[in-house]
Amino acid sequence: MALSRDAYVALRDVVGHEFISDDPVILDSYSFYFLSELITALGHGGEKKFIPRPAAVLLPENTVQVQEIVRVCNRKGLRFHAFSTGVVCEGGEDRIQIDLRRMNRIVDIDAKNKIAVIEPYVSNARLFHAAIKKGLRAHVHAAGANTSPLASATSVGGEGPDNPSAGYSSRNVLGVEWVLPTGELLQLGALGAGAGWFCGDGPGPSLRGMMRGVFGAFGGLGVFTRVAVKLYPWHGPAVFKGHGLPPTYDGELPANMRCFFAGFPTSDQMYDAVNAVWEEGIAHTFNRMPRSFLCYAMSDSNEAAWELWQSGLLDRELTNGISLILAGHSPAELDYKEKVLHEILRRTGGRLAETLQQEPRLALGVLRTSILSDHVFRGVSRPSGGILEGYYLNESVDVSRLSHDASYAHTKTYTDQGICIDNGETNWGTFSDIAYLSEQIPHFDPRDEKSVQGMLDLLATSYQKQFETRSGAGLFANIGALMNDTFGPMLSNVHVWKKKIKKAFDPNTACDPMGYAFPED
Amino acid sequence: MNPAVIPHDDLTDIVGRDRVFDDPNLLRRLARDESFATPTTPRCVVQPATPEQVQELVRWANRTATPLVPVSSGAPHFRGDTVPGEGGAVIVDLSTMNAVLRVDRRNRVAMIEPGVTYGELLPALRREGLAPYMPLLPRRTKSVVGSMLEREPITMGRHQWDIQDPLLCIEVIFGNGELFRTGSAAGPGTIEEQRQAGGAQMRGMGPGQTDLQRIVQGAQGTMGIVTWATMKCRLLPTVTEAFLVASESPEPLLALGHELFRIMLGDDVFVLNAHNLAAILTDDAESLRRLRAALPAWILYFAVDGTGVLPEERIAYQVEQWQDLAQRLGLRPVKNLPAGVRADHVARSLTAPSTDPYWKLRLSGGCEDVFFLTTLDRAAAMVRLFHERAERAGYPTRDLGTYVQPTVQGTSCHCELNLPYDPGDGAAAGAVRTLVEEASVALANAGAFFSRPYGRCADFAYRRDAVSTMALKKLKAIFDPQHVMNPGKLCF
Repeated sequence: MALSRDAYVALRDVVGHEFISDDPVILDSYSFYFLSELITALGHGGEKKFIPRPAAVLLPENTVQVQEIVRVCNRKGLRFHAFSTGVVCEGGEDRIQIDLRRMNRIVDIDAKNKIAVIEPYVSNARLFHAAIKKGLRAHVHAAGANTSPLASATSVGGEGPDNPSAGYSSRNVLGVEWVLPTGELLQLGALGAGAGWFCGDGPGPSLRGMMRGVFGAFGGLGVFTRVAVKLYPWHGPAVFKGHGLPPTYDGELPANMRCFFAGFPTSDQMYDAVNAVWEEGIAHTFNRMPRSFLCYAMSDSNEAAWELWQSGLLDRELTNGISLILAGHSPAELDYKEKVLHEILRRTGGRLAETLQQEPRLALGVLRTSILSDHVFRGVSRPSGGILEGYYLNESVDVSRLSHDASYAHTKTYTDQGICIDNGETNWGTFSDIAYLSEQIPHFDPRDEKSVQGMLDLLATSYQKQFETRSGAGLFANIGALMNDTFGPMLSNVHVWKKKIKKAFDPNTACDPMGYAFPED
Repeated sequence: MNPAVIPHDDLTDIVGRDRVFDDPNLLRRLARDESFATPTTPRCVVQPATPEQVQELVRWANRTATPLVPVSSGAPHFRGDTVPGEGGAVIVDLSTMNAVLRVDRRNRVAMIEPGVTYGELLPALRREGLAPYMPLLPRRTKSVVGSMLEREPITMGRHQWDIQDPLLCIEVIFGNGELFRTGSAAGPGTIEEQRQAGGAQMRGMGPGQTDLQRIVQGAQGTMGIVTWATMKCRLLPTVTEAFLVASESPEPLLALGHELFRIMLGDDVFVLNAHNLAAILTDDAESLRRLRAALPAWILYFAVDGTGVLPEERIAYQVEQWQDLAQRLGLRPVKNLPAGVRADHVARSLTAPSTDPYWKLRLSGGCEDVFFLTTLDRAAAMVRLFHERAERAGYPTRDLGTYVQPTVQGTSCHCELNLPYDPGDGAAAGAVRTLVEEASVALANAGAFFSRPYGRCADFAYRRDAVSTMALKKLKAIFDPQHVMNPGKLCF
């Protein structure tokens, strides 16, 4: 249903007629998002792959316009959901979407202090290529080169293969510019004091604690319009040269980076090695990579992936496998790290994958998937068009080690029914400075209702199993209004605090609560 | 402490008769600290022994509208945060909750109660081949949990990925009496059940979409009382290679600091002026003065730890890069400075808390600190601004200590000015107080960020940021709706 005339006019006056639309043709393109089919299957409106059409979409140009839109929503009883490169969004009557794609500036790269200030629609790729010109790089989260580091830092998750050397997204946050659900502009930390972007905490208690935790509020606590993130050393060239067309472009591993593949006789030995690599702090990027995922990520088509799988090469060399890139400021640093790696392999019974080590294209593939996050999501999603996390383990290495076999056996009952693809061992993993993250990523078919429903069942039973075994909380058990009452009591009653926060900061529930919490009753 | 006559039946029911104290002399001592905070006599002191007792105390405070002032460190206190902001307050003394609950070598994590001091923690970690990330020579009585909750900077900024570090998870009793566990400790299951599943309470994020430990950090006890915390630890080095670089001005050293963090080199990195280096290496005022006079004006300390499977080689490549870097900037790393100051002596002193008297008190018996965050490229100007103000105010600037600590992997730095003074000299104390207040405002106007504002500093820190103040008050109303937790502090 269309907005009321006066609401439309009030919003149009903020952004101008070019940047608001309630045209159904346009709005249909705002009804499709990643995992829409699961959300509609859960009965939250919409049909199959499409959530309900929003009443209007707006494209603000700057923070002031965002504030004005939010104020109009509060006055007119509308509900808004802002997004940058986009995950789950909201539609329906009196619901508007704020598409932040016009706010796409790299505001500053302060090379001296290793800080980048960015707007919502800056992509990982743009920030990466801008930063490496100055010998630096930002963390690239695994959602892909084309996705928003601001969204990852403020609102969503944050893991990626470069976690070991570039941190988890939430731990890279410095200053933040945040339009609260009522329209006030909150500037976290030093920014609010007029001192700059270098710190987002204080004075006194840090409001970052309300902003996000392992995950963000998925648009449920307002709109983030700028964020400062930490930058890290980049040991490669100022321009990253490739040739060919993406995603199949080619190139060379920079001279001061080395790529390694190693396999282990048992998963226990592998996890010991993972812990040792973590402890030694040598990894630039790290992947505990299922063989099937390596096939997907390293190939340009399903046929090529199948061919690689069928060759048996990965079975021979990369069972219980890991891949990592070492990087160094000097050859001596790189030599040291390589020696440490060899020593770890010696102590844990691992061995380098001899054939794979000779494949420069595979090394480049690891580079482009691990450092640029290019092709990860696309490559890994390609076999069936749909992926999701089942077991989500985010703590010590041993939590994953002890769950390793059980999580695979659990998924196998679903793959045997044809609900999802049997990928063999399925736990992808990497580590940041404070946690080892392991995700079990089954492939389902989003076009097949049985597969979609089966996937939902797999999620529910996986989460139940995780809670029973105390190994942690499933990914979606941590996120969103619908999960709060079920899983909050098992997580120190966190849902109670979220509801109170939502009520205090969004008294009109003007900001879409689905990704975070409905206010306290 | 000797138990006194106890008229506090409710409190004795909660913690036992021998853990409630109201001796007038004790209360008079606790009415003030070493800062300029207005003295306020507490009603009594209680010493809970368990989280359950803490929770009962907070519930009791809500029922009776009694202010609680949580204190985990022993005296001397310096910042006014342990002095009651309102009359009738009960001091919650956590110093006897001092168990090292667990040291987990495999995951490099320790779980400790709030009363554990660095002196107690160090040997427990050492036995397992671990060491803590430490602030610069904390005083002997300083609580480790207190230090982390105050976001006290550590000397290894390279390893501080986030300003929260090295704090991981906490168990907290919020001001409304609810118990909450943060990070992966939140659940599912009890801590013991989590450990059986391989968990180590090491993911200091969450649960879910919250990081409520960040709201407790920096809160000066105004949000709740922490009953245990887990902390990130490092490998105990088998050997440490340390260097000193001298300069007559801070700029070249801070430029070197920038370059070190640009390539993430070294473990300990910080800059001191002559006064502070002398203060940490001597035991008394006279030796301090002598050494200070012999030292160069500014000194950068750099150290690499030999850890892991190839400790010597870890040191070797970094020392090679370090020397190249210093040479490129025209600086000369040395092992020894004049007057017998050796880098390895400094290294050794950093592995333990300060001996008594606390190093900041060695010159004059009293000391007032001004500290804030800025960036390395602005730190020298800030320090100079303060020195000029001090000079104009007639403060003897030779006594002024300065400490610049790169934080959060070099993206910011903690700047600290230490002003020793004779607490028995009223005029001198008054002058220091005026200087600190006026110069702090000037620093804030020049871009210094007072991220941890104590005492009157909080007034101007919050005046500068009305929206953050509003947001914090909303959170305070959620977590401590009756305002029983340390009222009168920060903006509450």
